Amino acid sequence: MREFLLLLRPGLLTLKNYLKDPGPGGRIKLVSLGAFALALWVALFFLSLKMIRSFYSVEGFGDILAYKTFNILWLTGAAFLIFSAVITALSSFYLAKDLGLLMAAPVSRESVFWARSLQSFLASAWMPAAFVFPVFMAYGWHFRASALYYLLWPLAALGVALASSFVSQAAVLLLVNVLPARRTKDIMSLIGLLSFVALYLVFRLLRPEQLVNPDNLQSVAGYLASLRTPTSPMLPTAWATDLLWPLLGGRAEEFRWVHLFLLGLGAVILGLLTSYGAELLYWVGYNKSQEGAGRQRAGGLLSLLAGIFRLVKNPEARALMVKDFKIFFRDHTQWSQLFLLGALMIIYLYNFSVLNLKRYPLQAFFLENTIAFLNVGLVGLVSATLALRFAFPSISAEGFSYWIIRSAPMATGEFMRHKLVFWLVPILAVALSLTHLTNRFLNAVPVMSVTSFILTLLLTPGLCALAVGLGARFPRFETENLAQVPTGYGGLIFMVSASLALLLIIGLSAWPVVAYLRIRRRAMEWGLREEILIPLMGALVLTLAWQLWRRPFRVGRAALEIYDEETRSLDQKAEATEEAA
Amino acid sequence: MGDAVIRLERVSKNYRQHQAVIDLSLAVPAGEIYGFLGPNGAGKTTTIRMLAGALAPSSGRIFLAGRDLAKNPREAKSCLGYIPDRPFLYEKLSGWEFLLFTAGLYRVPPREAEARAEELLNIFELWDWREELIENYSHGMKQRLIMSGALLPKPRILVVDEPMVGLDPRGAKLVMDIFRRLAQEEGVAMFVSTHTMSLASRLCDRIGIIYKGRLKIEGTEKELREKAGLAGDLEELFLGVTADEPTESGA
Repeated sequence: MREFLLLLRPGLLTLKNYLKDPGPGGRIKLVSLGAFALALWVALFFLSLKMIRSFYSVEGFGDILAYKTFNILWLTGAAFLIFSAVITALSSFYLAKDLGLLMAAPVSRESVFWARSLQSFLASAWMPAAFVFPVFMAYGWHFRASALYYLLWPLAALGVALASSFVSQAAVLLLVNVLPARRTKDIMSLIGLLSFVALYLVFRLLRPEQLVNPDNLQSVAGYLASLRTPTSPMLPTAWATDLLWPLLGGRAEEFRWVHLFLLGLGAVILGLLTSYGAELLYWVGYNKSQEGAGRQRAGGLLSLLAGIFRLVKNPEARALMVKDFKIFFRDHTQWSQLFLLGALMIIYLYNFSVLNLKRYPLQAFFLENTIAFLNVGLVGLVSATLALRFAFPSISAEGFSYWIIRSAPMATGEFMRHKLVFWLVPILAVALSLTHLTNRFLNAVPVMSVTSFILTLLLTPGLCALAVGLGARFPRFETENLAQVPTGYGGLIFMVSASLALLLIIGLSAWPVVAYLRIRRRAMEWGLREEILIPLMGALVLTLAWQLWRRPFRVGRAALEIYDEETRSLDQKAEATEEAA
Repeated sequence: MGDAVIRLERVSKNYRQHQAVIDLSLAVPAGEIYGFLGPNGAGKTTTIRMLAGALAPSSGRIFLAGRDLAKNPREAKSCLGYIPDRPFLYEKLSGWEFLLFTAGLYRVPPREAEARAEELLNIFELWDWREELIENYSHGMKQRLIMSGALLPKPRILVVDEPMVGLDPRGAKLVMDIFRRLAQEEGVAMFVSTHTMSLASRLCDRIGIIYKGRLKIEGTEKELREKAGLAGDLEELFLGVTADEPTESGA
């Protein structure tokens, strides 16, 4: 036990030291992240409340829908936890840098395993727990649940989370004895991402909006009736549902303590099985994981494709772009995000293709063109998301190798400009394609098509420059997983700034567009007001887009130039990271 | 020293309250290997990073091949090869790709770059590994690859932080021979920071000892003995010059 507690100390001390001194601007970051999390909780709580109320607006099915959603919530949370726990368990048990030190120390492997097990559990459980918490609280609030519901929920959540985590840990113990640890992590991350994309596509392509179409009510009623069948009673998620559901909506007589007992017993049995598995497999698997993951060599196809950068005349820009291109396609955490991008685009275009505005013949012209204009804002949001995913982490992508850039004969501004161009070209291509295709689906008039094109051309470079600028302002060179960079404080600032910029530019352009549509529809003449205000608004939009392009980039460049002053030095940070890991 | 290729003029570096380097002035002419010694936390790495253009001095000026590093960073850095003590590289590039990338940064024409890369990979015994991703390299191989990258643009100045870290005896001898040849035959000025006294003694023409951010003493080994009034080898000399306080960490 003493060893187990001792092994937990580095993690606890790191946390304590961070809270004591979070570094320059750290307290502001902590407070604003806390405020953001709270706002998200409140939003989730009220959205869930609205959802539960809407269930009861469908007469006869409210209870079934609420119950099924309650059960699905447990299932989704557990499934999410199982996937993320596989990744964290792989890292904690086999890939962490300090394992070599611990394995050489005079401590038992059992203590190492259990300390890592707890760390992995906490690392994987906090996020699903944080997301489902406000939804379960909304259930309690809606049904005016007794105190027992709020007391039992954490226990039920703990039981489900422990059971899910043990399942993942046992799976990892087995998997690493079949596949190399690093490859297993890659495969699992990819499977997780692909499952998400598939689920997302299937859900959207099923057209759930048809559920509220009265023509289809007959079949929906039949479907819901089929849902009355009981769920699998052997899963901890079902025990959690059966434990808490009777406490909602005056069903107290159905409440049974046995479900809590089952949850506890399930977690204990799975824990014992994991313990037995660890005894048999952990040390064997650890040794295997040290033997290498199979070598990846520089491939011919990628080099061939990188030949396109011969078109770039500047040798430094070309060198940087070829390097970034190859690294992007060799790192699964980076290229796999293209699946998300593909799904996003398919759904986006699909939504417009099924939008039937001809149902409103009198307003069709106005609606189609107004939506074509508002679509610029939506395309802007897509561009902002892409910029956040790809352009924002591009500076941090240099990692500890950033010394190569700093000591090379290249100014910080040039380095950032090459990064910007590298990402701007594909993001702009996506944004313009989306604008063009949606305009075609909407039958937008030529003037509106050109306007939306111009606005997209103005907005996208600004958003990319904002992403690179803020990426340089908030670099995370020490990160091991680049996909996590956009989820940090800098990413949050980027999304807030990008949304504000979008709102401002779309807001300023709205009046001229609406004025034009009104004049065109009513076949009116241009008035003096339009002749003055339209160029004025245009000039304001241009100024804003220009500032968006220039300012954040400058701020980022200045911050990156003095990066070492704030952090003492990247080398020291590298040293600290190695030691802390 | 009028023909100095590396020149530091009253360079200081402060980290908030802490003074890491204080009023440092020194000069290294072409073809000389200058050894920079000091205990942990003395200011060696800070000086090296300032020389490499990775860190700006709080005051003072640095000239590389006569060019002011603050005013003309591009021109000054184009004469410089930098070899840090930690081999952080782009793990998802192959050794060959890394060298061509470095050539691009230093504007070496593609054909010349390929010829140089081949030559250097052969010299540093990495030719058979050229297509392997760097993530598969050992620490010593990464260190040798960094050296290849630093030498590829044929720099007039080489700044090296702990050159032998992670190298096996064969690799260490190879590097030492290369450094000597570069200085003697090609006139490269080298600024080498190290903790290894025997290496400094065998490799360096002149030695400077920095302590608590100040350059305490500099000269040839013989001159150092005379100035410090101490006998014995370089290790004893070093311990004598830095005797008054125990070592600390962080530079």
